[in-house]
Amino acid sequence: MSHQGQQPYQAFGEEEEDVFGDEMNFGVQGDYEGTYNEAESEQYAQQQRVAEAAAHQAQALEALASVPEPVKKYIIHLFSLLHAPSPSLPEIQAAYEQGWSRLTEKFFQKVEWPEAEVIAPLVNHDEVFLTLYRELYFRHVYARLQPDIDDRIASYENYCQLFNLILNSPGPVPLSLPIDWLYNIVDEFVYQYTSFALWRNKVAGKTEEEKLILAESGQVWSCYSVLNVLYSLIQKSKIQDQLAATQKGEDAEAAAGEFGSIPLYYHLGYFSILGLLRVHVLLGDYTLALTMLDGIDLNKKALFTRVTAAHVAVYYYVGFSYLMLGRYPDAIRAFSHILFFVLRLKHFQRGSQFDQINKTADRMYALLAICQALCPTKVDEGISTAMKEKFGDQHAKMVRGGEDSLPAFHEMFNHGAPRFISPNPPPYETESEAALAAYSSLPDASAHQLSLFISTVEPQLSTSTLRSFLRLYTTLGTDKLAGFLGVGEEEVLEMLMTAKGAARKYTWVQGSLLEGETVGVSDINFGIDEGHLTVAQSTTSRRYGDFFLRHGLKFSDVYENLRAKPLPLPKSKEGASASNGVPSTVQTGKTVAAGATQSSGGKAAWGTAK
Amino acid sequence: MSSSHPSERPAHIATLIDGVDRYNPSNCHLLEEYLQLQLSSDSYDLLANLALLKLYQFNPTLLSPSATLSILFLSLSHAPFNSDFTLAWSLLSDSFVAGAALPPAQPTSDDDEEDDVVPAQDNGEKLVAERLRALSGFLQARQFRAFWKTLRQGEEGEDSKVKAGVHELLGQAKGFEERVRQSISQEVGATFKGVQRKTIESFLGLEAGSPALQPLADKYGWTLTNDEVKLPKNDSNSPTSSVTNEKISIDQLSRLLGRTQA
Repeated sequence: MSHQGQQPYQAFGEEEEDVFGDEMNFGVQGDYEGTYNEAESEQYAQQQRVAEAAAHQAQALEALASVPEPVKKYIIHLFSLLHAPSPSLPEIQAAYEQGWSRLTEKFFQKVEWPEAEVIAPLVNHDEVFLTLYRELYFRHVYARLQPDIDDRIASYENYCQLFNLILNSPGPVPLSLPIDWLYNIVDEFVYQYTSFALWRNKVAGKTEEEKLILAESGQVWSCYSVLNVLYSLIQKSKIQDQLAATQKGEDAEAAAGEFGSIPLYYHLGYFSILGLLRVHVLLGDYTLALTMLDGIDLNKKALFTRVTAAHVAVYYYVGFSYLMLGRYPDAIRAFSHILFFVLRLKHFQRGSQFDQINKTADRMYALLAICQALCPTKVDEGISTAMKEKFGDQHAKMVRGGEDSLPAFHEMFNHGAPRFISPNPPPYETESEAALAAYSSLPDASAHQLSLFISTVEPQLSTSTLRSFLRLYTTLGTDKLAGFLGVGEEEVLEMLMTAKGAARKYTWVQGSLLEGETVGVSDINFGIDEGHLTVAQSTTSRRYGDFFLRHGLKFSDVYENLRAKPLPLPKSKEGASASNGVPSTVQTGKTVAAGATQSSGGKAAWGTAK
Repeated sequence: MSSSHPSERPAHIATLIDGVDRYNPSNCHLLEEYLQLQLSSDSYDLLANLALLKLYQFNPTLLSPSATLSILFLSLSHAPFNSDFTLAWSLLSDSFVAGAALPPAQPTSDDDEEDDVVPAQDNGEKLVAERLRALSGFLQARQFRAFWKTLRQGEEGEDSKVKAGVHELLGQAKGFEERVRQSISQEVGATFKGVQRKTIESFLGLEAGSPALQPLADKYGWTLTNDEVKLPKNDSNSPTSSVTNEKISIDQLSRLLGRTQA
């Protein structure tokens, strides 16, 4: 893709008139209508026509002519919305979300959107807009098509350009984008980085040309360049200072600075923090991932809850980090919190965004099954039912423990974990087949994390068997227990200490996500005195509060609704004929309702019926 | 994760690991020096050590196998029952420990464009790391007897480099055995109120009647007799049955009560 966005718009002077023709209603044209008929531009255009560029121009124009009319209208519409004196975020959001996907369905299911150069004349060759457009263009290529190496590199360069525009501008860029769009930019940037890293590190199936390009373009999508972007956005917006001020109850505005007080920068900085959470998890750095969220309280008021995808992603990565830290109760809390939210969301959401959310939710059920097997904890019944519907077999196997349960742990981890990446490329620059073959025979980042996870599970495999024995006794000799399990007495004592370790966990209480206190997390508690086990169970009585509260509110809603409705008219038996043209179905409905009210003596309950 | 902010962390290290400077390869030596300080002063700072491993992860040419081993070893001695060892191991995916070839040796001259970089000599670091991982596994599974045996005797038919490597680490970190014993003592205290003396001695890797038991007993308030050890009561080793009943706070009811006002 050649970058020629700097072409002055005068170059296409006259030819454009026809193309635009009926687009005038979008009001874009008006802005520069007056200029391009000027004599000098005419002259300039004349010179341009003799230049070689003319051929390219003509091609681009031809391409533009073949762009479907609604698409052209859409692009101009979006451009004018962004450039309005006071941009309306809801309108931009609608055009961004519905407009784009509607046209994608209609025209671009299997092909790319028009290239930015082609549509450039429609938007006055506006650099910022074209960069944003290219971002959308590549996002579509990644989502619907197969990006090739050129796409990957060009998309990277476009991100560099976009972030350069935003970060290196002397003053804040005058651009207002809806919060969803900003989240998607940062999220997609991280996604394409991970996609590139995974693709790059798969040596098999690369052509010689691809290897050559990869050997030469070490900086493209390098971990340093990606982190650089995310940290720069954070620093430019002073988001961490702002969040810290908010946490302390101080004025965030005072800490914001020239850029940070602008929503564009504030949001990009904020979402970069979430981007780093994800990147650090994918690189296997779980403590650093969690410290990224130091300024953000995970509660219902947090900004990320305003973008559903962000809301789900935050809890997924936080929960996963806790799982890898062995802090299962914290992981369960994170997963069940967000799964509860997704369950309720189910009734309202639709579309591709929700597919993604469902996929993530599915992964979290797998991870929850792991956590529940290692550290049984009561969770909301809806969630526990859904988890068992999806992964009941695997959960049962993991709960049974022992060596036989390992395949189930493997399966659930592979299902639930993200795809990990390696920050370093294979040794393409050596141009040696042997070096590359040696590289690809090594375990990849995901295999490394799996082996790590399994090695934390293995010591705990005896715990669930032990737990099921302990449930049956209040006192028991350790020699007897050793006999049941067929192991030596000292070995049983070691197993009991492992179970003790699993029953007491470092758990978050307050403060930053890494902090916590060691608390008992099991319903089975035991102690050993001279070979005698004493077991105590703690039980939690059933919780009714939530249920009654929810149904109480629901009932109150139903009652309010009913009360707000007009009173059913008492119908005289003979008068309710269909002669007035009311459809008969409605008619019957009304009759029934009226009948019911009467038969239950409802009149009095409704108050005055007169 | 005993403490994410050790009080002895020097200010310049704190600034370094809390900011973007943690990614700057030229700060590598600061973290390596701090690591040496931890080894010699018997202190421990997980997050600083992870920051060093992160630099190695991003810049494999900087990787120092011996510093990596020291970090693994420190986490083993200071936090054997936490996830510290795992967290450190997690960052090694691109280095020698996970199986990748040893990184090229650091260029001796300034000319790092040189194509024929010689791989660093393999001094059995990978095997030593695997040994540390096995030891960590024993501690996680509370197989203390296997831990002490493997630590002291090694495994049959092992490479002589492993023994030498482990020996070197033990020499570096002062008081390793003492630290591990203290951690084990705490684990024992959470489970037992009374236990046979020979059992506890085998858990602690002590010979029968070893005088080293007495200082631990003093530290943790144990009472020693000829063949018994009595441990003080705590929440963990003296279970009590309990029933937790649901408590509903007025806050939870606020929405419902609000409705009744209308």
